[in-house]
Parts: sequence; structure tokens; C-alpha cells
Amino acid sequence: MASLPIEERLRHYFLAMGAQPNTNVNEPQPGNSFSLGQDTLHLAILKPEDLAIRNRVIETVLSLSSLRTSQLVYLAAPRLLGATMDAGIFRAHGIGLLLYDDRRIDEAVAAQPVRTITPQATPINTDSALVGELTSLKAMYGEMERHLAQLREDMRIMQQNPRGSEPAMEQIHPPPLPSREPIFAASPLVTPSVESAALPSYFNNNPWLDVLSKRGRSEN
Amino acid sequence: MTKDSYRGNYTFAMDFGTSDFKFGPITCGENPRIVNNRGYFPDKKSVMYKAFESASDVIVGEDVPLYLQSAEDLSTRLVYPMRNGMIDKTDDQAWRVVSTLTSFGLGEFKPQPHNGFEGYYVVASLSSVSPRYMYERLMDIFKENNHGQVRAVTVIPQPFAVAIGHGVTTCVVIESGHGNSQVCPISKYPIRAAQVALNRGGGDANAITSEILKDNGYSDLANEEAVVRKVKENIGLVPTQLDSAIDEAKKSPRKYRAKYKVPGTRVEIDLEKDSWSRFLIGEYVFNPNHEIFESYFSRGMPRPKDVKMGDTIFKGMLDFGEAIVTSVERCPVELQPLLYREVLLSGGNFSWSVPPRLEDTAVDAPTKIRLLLRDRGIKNVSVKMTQSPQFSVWHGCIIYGFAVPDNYEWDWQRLEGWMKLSG
Repeated sequence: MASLPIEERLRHYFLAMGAQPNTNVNEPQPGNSFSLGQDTLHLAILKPEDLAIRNRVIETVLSLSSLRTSQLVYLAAPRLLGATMDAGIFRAHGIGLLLYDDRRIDEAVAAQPVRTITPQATPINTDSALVGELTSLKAMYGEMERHLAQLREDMRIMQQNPRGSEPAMEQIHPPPLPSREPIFAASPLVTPSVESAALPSYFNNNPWLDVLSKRGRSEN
Repeated sequence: MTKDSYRGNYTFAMDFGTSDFKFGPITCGENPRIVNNRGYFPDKKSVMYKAFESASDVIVGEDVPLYLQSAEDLSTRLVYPMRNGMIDKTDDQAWRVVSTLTSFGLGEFKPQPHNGFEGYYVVASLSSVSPRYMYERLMDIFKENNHGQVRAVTVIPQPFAVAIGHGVTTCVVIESGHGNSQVCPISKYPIRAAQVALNRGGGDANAITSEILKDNGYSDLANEEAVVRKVKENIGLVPTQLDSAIDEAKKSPRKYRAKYKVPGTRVEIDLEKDSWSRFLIGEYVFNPNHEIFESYFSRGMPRPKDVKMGDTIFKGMLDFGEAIVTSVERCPVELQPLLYREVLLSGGNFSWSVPPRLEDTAVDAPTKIRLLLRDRGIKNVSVKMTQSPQFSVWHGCIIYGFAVPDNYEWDWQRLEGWMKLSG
């Protein structure tokens, strides 16, 4: 393994991760660019001799930083660099760090795609699936209102025309159903409707939201 | 801010898997952060340890590779606490790793001050066979490490979280990891009394792969765990029916040839005329009872044994079909058809693919389970892989944390509810 040049070893490393080499000649560094799922991945390699050249490390990191706008970027550096730098700096900026020696390549810091994950930021996305779901819920609600109107009408007719064998019919009070809130708004904890625009997709139509929100009620 | 919108921001999930620790708040969206579920105890005399002034006793997360030293040290200094899904009561090293990972996970998502943050609702997930002392110890860890960051904590079993993440309220979840597998029926609650645990997982498939490599003259590679795992993943196949698959492969050795080149090396493994043995790897995972495996046992490969861990007996040789039937038949008869209707497979040990042109003899994991159940007369079965095998536990924990009422307090009998730590 060590007999191969580091470029080749790194290429195999990324291929083993499932990445595909990018052959686009317009890429800033053809040969060091890969596709990984939907992401583009760029790699800059520092060799042991580069560490002795003034400004080479900072120049390489800055050039990687300029590529980071829309892709994953990795710096591959000799393991020696790991002893002189705090890997946290790379993590803070989302730049991946691979450390290598003659025998091994280790991922010290995984590259992060550009996205903000601060806990308080909950951007409201107009997701097309969500819009579709809301439309379908609206349609279901309309349908339910039509059914209720029909039921009210049937009830009115039955009360106006009581059959001889059913004198008690007049005592039947209108069912409480029409005055109730729609079922999907009744459960207090399954009312992420205010928030649902920001909730992840695995919340969509998940029956557990209803089941779990009732935990403890039966005991009470 | 209502509690709902509060938990829409501050629900936090931690999945302690056998290999990876997945963690993060609900705002991570679909994908949590992942680090290896391991910790490194550095040699305090080493130059590397001294070079990092702030280095702690246990290193976790992405920094671990920076501290690794000789390969000989790894077996004692690099600790995977959940390798078998369970931690011994007295295994202080493993518990220290869990404690450090917990602090690390919360520390990576410290909210900014003065934004209304009153602590996370944390849902941690453990193997379904975890004994009560593991719940107690994990709760203690949260109490010890809570610096106002945790408002309430709960622990749920991983198969339960899988069912929640997948959106199925009545099902059987089979979680198969490196060291063991668990069959757990769910009907709105995990049915703990019906659980069946198997002392067999991905590690056993590695063991037979290693034997096959030895038999084919690759003894030097047979002890390298990473290589053996890669070989298993690349050449291992699950047979539709073992005897007929072996016959076919012996008749057409070129079609079934198992060949794998280790990336970045000159090492190439070629099983040539013995390529039929690639079917043994997959079969062994699902059913180790075929007589062909006896020759491996007699030559020294350890037979998966029944072992007792905590209060649970892990069956060694029970095949997956029998395990599911045993588990389901411990449930009420009325419920049984509903359970068979949704069988969910989760975990890396079910990631088996079928190469093109071998569809007649090789199958994926759901099909194999369906066939094993059919052999036992169970026909109306739906078997699926979880939609997001890697993250379904984490997804389930997030949903649980978001939906379970705040006033549903922790109960040691049912092992559910919120243990309030602050607020």
C-alpha cells in the first residue's frame, strides 16, 4: 500500500467510501474532485515536503476554503501536521481533515456540507410534499363538513317525520359530533400544525404522534 | 413559547449503537451527527498526550485518530462500550466512555445563551436486551453531567425507536448488530416479555468468512478484521436455498466467481472453484443449522452458544424464522396475524445485495426472512427493511421526545416516561 503514491491511495480511499471521480475538466482540481451522493467533494493534498515550504499550508487551506461554498472539502496532510494543529479549527469551518502516513489514512475531521444547524434556527420551508399534504387535508376537511351537513339534514328530516313505532325519537338530542373540533385538531400534543412546517419529513403522517401523545392518559 | 414549539427546537436524541453513536437535536433535520461509539484511553506518558494540553482521560469523537498509537495498544486502550449491546455492571472503562460521549454529544449543540433555552428533552436509546441496571446507570450519567443542559431524560429500546421512526404501531422489529440480534414485537408498547435474543450477528458472518479465507490460502488476511469484513460485504451472498445454490455455483463456477480486490492495495482475493462457499456467509447469518457448517465447527470455529447476559438468554443456533415465530407466539393469538403483517429489519447485518444475473439463487434479507417463515407455514407476511436503516432509531427517539406528554413521568416498572432533571 505504501508503495503507491499518496494521490492514488487517497483516490482508493474515496472510492472505497462510494465516491466517484469527477472527470469534468472545468473542475478547479481535476483528479482531486469526486461525487459523493449529491455532494461534490474536493481534496487538497499536502505532502511532507510541502510542510517545509513557507506559506504552503495556509495557501492550501485558503484555496480549499474558497471552494467550500457549495461542496465538501478535505485536506489530506501528513500525520505530523496533526501533532501541531488543533483539529477543532477544521471542524469549526467544516473542512475535513485526513491524516496519512506510510501505512494508514485516518479521517480526523469529517467534512460538513454548508448548512446551518443552530438549534434555534427553524426556517420555514415550503416543501412541496408538505403543501401537497396540506391540500389533501384541506380537501378531507371539506369532505367531512359536507358529510356533517348531510347528517344534520338527515337528522332534521327524521325529527320532522317520526314513525309511529319510534316516539322516543323526538327525545334524541342532536349528536355532539358537529359541535366538536375536527379530530386532527383535538389532540393537544399532536398539534404541531403551528410548527409542522419546520418538522422533519419522518413526522409526516406518523401515527405514533397520536399514540405517544396519549401516554399517561389512561393511568390518569 | 408553548411546550410544543419549545420541543420543536429542543428535543435531543442519542442512539448508542454497537458501532456508532448518533446524536443531535431535532433541528438537525433528517440526519444526526455520527461519531464512532468508542473511546480511547491515551497513554499519559506519550508525546501526543502531552502535546494536547486540554486532552482528557478519555478521548471520543473525531479526535480519536489523532491519539492512536501502536496497533498492540488498540486492544486495551480503544474501548467500544456497546460492542455486544450490553455493558457489564462493573466495566468502569466502558461506562466512562458512555459518560464522555454523552457530555460530548450535548456539548456539540450548546444553545446560545438568553434565547429561552431551559434544557433539552433527551431521549437515549439502548439495545432492547439492556438490563435495568443499564437504564439506572445511564440516568445517573445524565444527572452527573447535567449542567443545566438537560430538562428531562428518558431511555427507550432501539427496536421500539425503529418502529416509531418507521411509523408502524404494530409490528415485529428485528435488530441485528455486530454481536447479537433481537426480535421484539411492538404493539403501541414494546412487548418485553415476548422478546427473543440471538447470540449471533455480523461478527459471526465475519467468523465464517475468515474460515473460508483460511481454506482458500489467505490465512494471512483471515485475522485482519477490517479486511474480513470488506470481503464479507463484497462476496457474501444469501442463498434462496443453500443446497441448490451450492449445486448451481459448482456447475457454473465462472458465473459465481467470487473475486475481490482490496482498494489501495495489491491484495486480491479469488475463491476460484470454491466460489460456491460465498453462499455460506449469508446462510450462516440467517440459519447456522445446516450440516455443512458442522465441518467448520469440528475444525475449531466456535459454535454460537446460548449465553446468559443480565436476565436474558441469548440463543446461539436459533434461525431467524424460528426466532420470529417463537417471539410472536408469546403474544396473544389475536395479535399474531397483525404482527406477521409488518416485520421490520433493521441494522447493518441485513444489508445483503443480489448481484445481477444471480437473482435465481441469491436473495436479499427480507426475501430470506419471508422464505424462512414460509417454511414454518407462515404465509401472509410482509417483511421490509427500515427506510433509513442507519438513522431510524434516531428518528424514532426524536418523535418520542416530541410527542410524549411532559407530565408522563418516568416509571421503573414500565421503563417509560420523563425523568425530570431540572425545571
